[in-house]
Amino acid sequence: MPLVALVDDDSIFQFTATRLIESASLAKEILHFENGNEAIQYLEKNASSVDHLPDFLFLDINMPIVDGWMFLEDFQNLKTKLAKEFPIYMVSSSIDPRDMSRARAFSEVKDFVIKPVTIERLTELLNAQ
Amino acid sequence: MSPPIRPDNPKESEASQAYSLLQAAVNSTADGLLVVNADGKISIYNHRFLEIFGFSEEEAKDQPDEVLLSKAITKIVDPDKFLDRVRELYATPIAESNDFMELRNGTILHRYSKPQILNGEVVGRVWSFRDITEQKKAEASVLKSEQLYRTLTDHMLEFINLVDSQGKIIYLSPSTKQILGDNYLDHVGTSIFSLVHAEDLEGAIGKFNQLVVERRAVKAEVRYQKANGGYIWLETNGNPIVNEGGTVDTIVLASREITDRKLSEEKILEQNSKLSAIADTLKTKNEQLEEFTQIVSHNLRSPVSNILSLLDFYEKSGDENEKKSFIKMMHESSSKMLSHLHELNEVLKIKQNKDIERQWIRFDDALENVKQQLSVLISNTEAIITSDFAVAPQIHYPNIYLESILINLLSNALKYRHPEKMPEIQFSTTLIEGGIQLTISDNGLGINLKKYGHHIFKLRKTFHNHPESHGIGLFMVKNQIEALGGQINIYSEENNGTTFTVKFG
Repeated sequence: MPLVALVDDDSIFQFTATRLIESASLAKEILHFENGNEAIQYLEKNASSVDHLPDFLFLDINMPIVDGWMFLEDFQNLKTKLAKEFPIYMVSSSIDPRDMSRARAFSEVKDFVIKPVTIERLTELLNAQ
Repeated sequence: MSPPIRPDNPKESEASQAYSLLQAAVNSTADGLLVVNADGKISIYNHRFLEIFGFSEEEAKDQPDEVLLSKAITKIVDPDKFLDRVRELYATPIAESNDFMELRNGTILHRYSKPQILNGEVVGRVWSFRDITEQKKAEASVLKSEQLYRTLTDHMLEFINLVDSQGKIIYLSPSTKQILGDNYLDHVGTSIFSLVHAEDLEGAIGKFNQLVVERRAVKAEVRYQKANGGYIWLETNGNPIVNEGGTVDTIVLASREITDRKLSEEKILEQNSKLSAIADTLKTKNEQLEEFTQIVSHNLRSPVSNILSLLDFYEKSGDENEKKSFIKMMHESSSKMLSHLHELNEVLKIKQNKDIERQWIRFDDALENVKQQLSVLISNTEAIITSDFAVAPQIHYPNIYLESILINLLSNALKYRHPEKMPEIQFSTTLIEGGIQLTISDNGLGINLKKYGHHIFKLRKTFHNHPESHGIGLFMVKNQIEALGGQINIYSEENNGTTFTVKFG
């Protein structure tokens, strides 16, 4: 079962998403990050550890300090140092098409998920690959 | 070939000597010469005479005098008129006479006739003929071109005038009457510059001097005074006429009216500036709209999506305690949404309230008021706050906006103070082009503008892990400042403090 990272400052989203993943037993463990900066720091620290790097990363756009876009920029420098590759899913309440096309410009971003996220969509995303 | 000169009775060598001299003299002149005695017999003629009248030497030699003369007469355009003149002359034999005549072949002759007098008696007449065809032609062509130019300048719609190197008017074309009235010629002898609009005078004199000194054509757009009051816009082309000494003594000024064009130009410029103002407003509106899309898309939709997820959980849950916790979270999300809506509403109010009432406010008073509101935070942080409003001590601005600007920027500076430094915050005003600028500098944490610069003034953006960070203050302040046509800018470096400048609109 995969290791899943949730990067979102919204505690209620963290709660609902975690509950859905756990209820369907879609992950072995879930990592919680309040903003992009925390996630980058974790990835840097565990860059060489395949076991500690996530298999999927859910990334919110609007966050304090380092938002989703900044995370993706920082991630460009970091990704070559990581012991394994993993897909990033952009998760946002935004329905702005500009956000979607901007997200697609990053090759790591495999999909754009509009909140609220359903159990069906999560199952589909976490069973991908 | 017979000698062209036939003396009546050459008997003596002296006479023979005189005869030879005469022959040489007569043949060396460029004029055609003919001497006829009182009986109508030819005494002398020369080669040039034959040439002018188109006789060959052979012809002349074999012809009796009467025949030669009458043949010569037939070559004249108006022989009767000529014969009349001859008769008149013979009636008054001592008269000298000057005349012009034309031959059938187009040759124009200046005819001069003088009596030949011997021992006080008239014994014959000397006729001389000078071919002046070329001279006449040249004169005619000069006259013709003069007439042509005169006609052109007199009838042209352009205004032509000649001035001397001092600008004194020498000539004004009749078309000038349209500008200077019926008495336009009264201006001849006065200075052209007395007619030029005061605002255009310097430029016009500059161009004129350039023309005179550099001796080259110049062009100027100048307003001239009209006889009936008012001004007319003319485009004037000035061309120097350089004299033999190499200096300019006359200047030809050819002008045409460009009033309509000038007025259209002004109108176009006016329209242009209006259009670009509209474009600016539209651009701002567009940016605001985009900003709103973002706010609605992110900030309003996210609590709604949470509520939807929670509702789903609620419906599926059988545990009463769990259901209570879902309700609590839904409540939280609803409150968040309400507060977002409230903020959005506030911003809308600011944007719509461009005509908000302004008061005269002293910066000292406004800052004192804000310091009192933040007194607890100031004393806890032991911040040193200094101000210098001497240059611009007061401003005409909405009180609540100024208060909002000061309170947000001051509390920002206090909140993001450097942990190892005693906070120092300076307020000052300066006068800049177009208004007053307020500067607030601190020695706090600062911010990496390269990384965060584009987010500073956005809604709900925070850059420090700080419990009091809401990300609403700077967004509101920016909206308030821009709604009144002002500007806010930030200058900062990480760990090196932050400076905000506010240009009031």
